[in-house]
Amino acid sequence: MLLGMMALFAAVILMLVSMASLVLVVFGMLPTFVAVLVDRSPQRFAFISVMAMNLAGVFPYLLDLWMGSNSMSVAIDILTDVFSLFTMYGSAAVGWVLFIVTPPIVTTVMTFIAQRRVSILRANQKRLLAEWGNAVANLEDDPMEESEAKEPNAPSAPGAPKADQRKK
Amino acid sequence: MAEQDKPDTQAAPDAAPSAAAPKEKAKPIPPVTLDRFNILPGSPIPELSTPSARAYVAEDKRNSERKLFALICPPFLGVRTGVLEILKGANIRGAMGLVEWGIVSWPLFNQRTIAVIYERPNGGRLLDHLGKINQHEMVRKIIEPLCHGLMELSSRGVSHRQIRPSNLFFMDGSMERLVLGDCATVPAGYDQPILFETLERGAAPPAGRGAGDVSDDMYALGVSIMFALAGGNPVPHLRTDDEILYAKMIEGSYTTLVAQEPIPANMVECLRGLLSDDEHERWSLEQLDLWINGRRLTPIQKKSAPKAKRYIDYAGREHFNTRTLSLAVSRMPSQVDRLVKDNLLETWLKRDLENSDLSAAASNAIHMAQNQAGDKDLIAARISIVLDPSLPVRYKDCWFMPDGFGTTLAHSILQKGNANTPVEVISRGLPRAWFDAQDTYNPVYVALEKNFDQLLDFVQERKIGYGIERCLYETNPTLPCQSPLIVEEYVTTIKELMPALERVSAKIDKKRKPIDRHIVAFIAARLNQNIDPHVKAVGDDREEIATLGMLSLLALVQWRTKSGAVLGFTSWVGAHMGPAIKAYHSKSIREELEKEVPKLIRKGNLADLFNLLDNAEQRAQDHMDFKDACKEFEDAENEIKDIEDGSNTMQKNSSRLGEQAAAMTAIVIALLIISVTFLGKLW
Repeated sequence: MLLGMMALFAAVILMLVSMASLVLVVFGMLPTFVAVLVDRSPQRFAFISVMAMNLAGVFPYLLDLWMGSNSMSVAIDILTDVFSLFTMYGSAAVGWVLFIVTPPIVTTVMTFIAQRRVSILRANQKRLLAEWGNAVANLEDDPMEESEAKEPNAPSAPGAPKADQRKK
Repeated sequence: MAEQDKPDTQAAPDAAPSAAAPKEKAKPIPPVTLDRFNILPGSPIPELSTPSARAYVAEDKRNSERKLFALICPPFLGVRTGVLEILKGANIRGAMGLVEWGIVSWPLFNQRTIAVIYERPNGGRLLDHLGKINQHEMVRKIIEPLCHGLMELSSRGVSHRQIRPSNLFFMDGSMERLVLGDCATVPAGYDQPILFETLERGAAPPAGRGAGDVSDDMYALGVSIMFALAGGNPVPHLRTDDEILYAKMIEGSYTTLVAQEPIPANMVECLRGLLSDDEHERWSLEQLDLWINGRRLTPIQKKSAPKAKRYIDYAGREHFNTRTLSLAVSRMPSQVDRLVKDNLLETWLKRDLENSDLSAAASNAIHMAQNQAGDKDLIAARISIVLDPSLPVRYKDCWFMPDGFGTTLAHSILQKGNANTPVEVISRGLPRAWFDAQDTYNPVYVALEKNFDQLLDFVQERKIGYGIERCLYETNPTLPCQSPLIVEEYVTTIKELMPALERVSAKIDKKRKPIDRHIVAFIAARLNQNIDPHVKAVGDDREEIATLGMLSLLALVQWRTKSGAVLGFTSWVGAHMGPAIKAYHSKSIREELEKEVPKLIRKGNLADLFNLLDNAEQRAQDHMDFKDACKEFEDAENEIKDIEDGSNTMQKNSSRLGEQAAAMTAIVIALLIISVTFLGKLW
């Protein structure tokens, strides 16, 4: 709704300033209007991608119009030129391609990063197991845990001779 | 009872066990050396042997003319080593000269035991000369030398407790010098025939007679004099121990022994004094000395035990006094129900014996026994104590004077193989009942009572270092350690323990643990300091604590006894340090310790080994590091789990992120193109 209001507002401005520009934009950005209709997602990333690339394809001709005579005949010339139409609609197609290709690439990269992280963590765990044994993974009871809780001095019962005592 | 096994020992010469005799004749056995003396196992001297210790020829290597003989102590009885130490070289005129004593490896026992070397008497035993001594010479030849001998012993705090004609010797052939024989190779009174023991101690079996004191010696001296006067056993008609006991109880010792014999008038006073059944009235050494020197004392009048108007029938015998009844109840506890039923005993004590206090005490004892367990043995034991508190504690087959409990316990464990009855005696509180029943104050009893309280604690705690083994060594301070590991080494003192373990370590399978219940109890009883923390650590259920406890205990013994390096034993102990090393979490520390332990083993010092394995700082650091490692492992595990569990979520997220990235990329590219185009147009 907001998008429609904005488009209508822009169209009214353009109609008042330059009818030729409005015609060029309306016909040049037809893929964008299609994208608006096709993309029903809340974020409308497909629409944004197509619109941005479509605008990039239309803008050079719009600039030619503005820098030139800015007449309807020039606008019609541009719209009837195959090369210019190819540029405008091709750039919109690039937007579509971008939208279609990027997610799998991002997913692949993220999966790779996650797997890499897992292998690093596994290696760390392996190192810990090698140094501390299965007890580190709580696979065995920790004997020291009990001994400290019950009787902290049990192994080194008081009165036992120490090396330094004997030397004295 | 043991004395029933040897009814004729008071008349016949002492006969030593002869199991080893055929072996001795079969092949010559090399002499056994004790310091400068040689003992010849192949040359026994039966006439000098005692019932428990065999006599052998001994030689002084420096003086071959010297006449000596050695007594070999039985290894399973507590030798009176304290007495041996006092008498060694004391040169007491009325006692056989004790030249040397020590532990020897005795080939006939195949184990170590104590040998005692004495000056050899030339005149034989008094027993062999009974009837040959003139009655007029009795005082000069028998009473006077023995009195002086006992006085000298008494001045050294020693009671003899083995006075009998077969253990009194003439040192010279002319029978002028009579001396007391050996008194230290067996527990006090152990070899004494019942006739030579007082009524109280004689009621107990040999193992339960207790240490006794000089008053018991005076009684035995009286009986020996009576033998000399009669020229032999004055009461040959009393064949069994029970007959002797009952006769003494009914008639009194003096009447029993003297009545049959005509004795010189001058001896009546002396014999009445010595054979008095009342310990407080019995003559002391000083009174005997005064009598020898001609001073005449008031003769002791015969005192009979209070006699009831009517008898009470028990176990087929009519009893007129509480003494015989007490003994009969102990002998036949199965019939005690008769006394308890309808208050028969209380009524008899009150009406026929006219002793209300005793009746109340008996009633109280019966109620206590019934409340405690109610079985006949316990009721009989409590009743018999109340009926005659001077007689020994009597429960089932365990009869003992309180100061003879240790020997009784040792006898029960080593001869019968279990200590069930002595343990029951302690746990059922019979010693306390006995002490409570005494009507006279005796400071010795106070100490003994305290000891029994301690024994009860030991019996109730069954872990290693406590239990019946601890009781055994606490009550038998001279008993050798009975651990199967070192029993053949005859270890009687804590100082001998480490050398013995070192010797044993050379020939034992190292897989066996270097300590057991006996060794720990022996250490706890013999080391004169509180080592409960060590002992409790040894008995800990956790193996690593128990291992370190064992090491700390043994290190303490090595240090306290200044035993020096014990390489073999340290190696043996070191082989059992696995659990202590495993107590460290870090494998690198364990590997380091495993490398270090063999180096310390080669030094032979257990304390070093203990310090290595029980480094508190290292252990704390190890524990902290282990905790950190545990946390690190857990965090990693959680993260991995999160990653693995979140793979689907991540798929979704990454897809959304990719779309977002696509949109952002498109915007950026568009802005770049617009900017470049715009700038290009401007230029």
